Amino acid sequence: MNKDTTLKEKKAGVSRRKALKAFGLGATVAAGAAVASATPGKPSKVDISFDDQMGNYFQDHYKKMTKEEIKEALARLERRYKATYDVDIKVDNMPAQPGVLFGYALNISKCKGYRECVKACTETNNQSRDPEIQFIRVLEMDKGSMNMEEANHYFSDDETVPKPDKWYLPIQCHQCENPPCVKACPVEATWKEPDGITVIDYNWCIGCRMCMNACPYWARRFNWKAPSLPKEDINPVTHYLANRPREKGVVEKCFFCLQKTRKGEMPACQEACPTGARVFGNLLDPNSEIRYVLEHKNIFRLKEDLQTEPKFWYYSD
Amino acid sequence: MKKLLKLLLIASLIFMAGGLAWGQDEDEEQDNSIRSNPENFEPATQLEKPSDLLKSEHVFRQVLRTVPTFTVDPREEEMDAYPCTDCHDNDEQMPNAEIRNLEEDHESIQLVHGNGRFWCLTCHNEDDRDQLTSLKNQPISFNESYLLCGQCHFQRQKDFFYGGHGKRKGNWQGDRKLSTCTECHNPHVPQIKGRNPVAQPKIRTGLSPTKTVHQVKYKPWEIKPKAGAAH
Repeated sequence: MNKDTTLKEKKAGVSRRKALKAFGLGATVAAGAAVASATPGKPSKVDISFDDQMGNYFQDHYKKMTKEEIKEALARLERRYKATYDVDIKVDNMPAQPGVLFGYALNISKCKGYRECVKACTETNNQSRDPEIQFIRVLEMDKGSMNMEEANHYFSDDETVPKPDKWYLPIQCHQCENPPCVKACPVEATWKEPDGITVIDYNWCIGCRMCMNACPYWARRFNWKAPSLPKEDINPVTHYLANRPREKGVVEKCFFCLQKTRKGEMPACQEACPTGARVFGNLLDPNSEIRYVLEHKNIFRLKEDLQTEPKFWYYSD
Repeated sequence: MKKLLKLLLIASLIFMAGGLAWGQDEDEEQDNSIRSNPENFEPATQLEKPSDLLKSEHVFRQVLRTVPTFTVDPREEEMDAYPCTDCHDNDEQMPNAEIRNLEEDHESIQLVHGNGRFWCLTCHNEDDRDQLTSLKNQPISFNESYLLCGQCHFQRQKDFFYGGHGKRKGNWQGDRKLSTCTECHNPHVPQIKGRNPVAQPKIRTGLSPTKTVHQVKYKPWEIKPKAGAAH
């Protein structure tokens, strides 16, 4: 439906967005003050120029922006983060590498539930510390059962893991090849990139949470409150579609550490795993580790009957 | 009708007798085949050097692959008492092949690996103290422990070479750098002990860590009866 309307607008010559932009440039200061409340962190104290507020408000969809517009948007974000957190954050927009499709495999015989991946993920991806937002959940289940409804998400750090009668199943975004969250989004704020990663344009997200409803893997998180991110914990290497600091009222999820993996590095959870349970790589490369695992181990995917075709496999050996 | 039955009976008797005779023949053949034929016998290939294993070929689904190249971080720098020849350099410090409790030196070493089947010299080289040894008494460097461990754990070793065991460090693209066996496993006590996990997440707003009374009492599809309702 969205596509149809945009086409109609193009045919009409003047798009609704352009008309709004023209109107917005002449808007009163009162409108600017209203926009300022949408900035991350502590809005009242942040000093952001009127031009930046307007530019942010009338910023187009990521895929519709020209190269110059993206460049402006990135500079605007960097200025905003500087004003909010007093840290020089670099926001990148590196595109997907050609001939790459990311896949992940996790060895459930090796995973012992140490939650090191969760910690590393939070630190790398600038997630809110209070309220806590974590992309990975480690489920603890009774041996011989796989009832995720009965799984314990909150097993204590007082007890030694692995417990003899339990097993552990970390879940995060499965980067489905047929993602139901993308279909659910009414504004196309989330889409699948050519390297197979489903990303979110946090500036375009309206916070309706339809994607969270659609996701069968409980992968998406919503910022109910303005995320609090201590200055010293900020990772300054960020990507527009990945780990740049988010704001209140948008949905976020795991993106396989896009800002690292597109440069050829490993995702933070793989680097942090103390047991070597995580295997990451390019599915299109027949000599990659992930392909060896998929071809030689007993593998399964979660909720395979839903035909979401996750690019996240579990295996045992 | 009776004729037909008789014919069938005779035919079945002949068939059974034939079957017995055939079975006897087979037994005799099996007796012959038990003895090995030295002309066709091929021994398993023996490697000249343990590192030749890295050139070995494997067939995966009709595709021939050689072990992909990789590097590991050197372990000799990480070891506390390396080089071993600092102490074991003269005849006084000759290794003792007797299985005993280590009391004077190396008292921290508890050899759990192998449940008493091994002693130091199974893996440590008697002649060159700064090296390990294969079961064929070929020297193996401390940096190449994967060649040693794979003598018994060959399936794990194959997985390690191709990426199913262990961990690739740093990158998924470009030069492969793997974590070697002894980075994670203590070779004397290889099984990794459990420990406490990282702190659990806070319980998310509106959720309960345990089942609520309603959840215990009713199935999710059952409607909670209103207070004061009949029954």
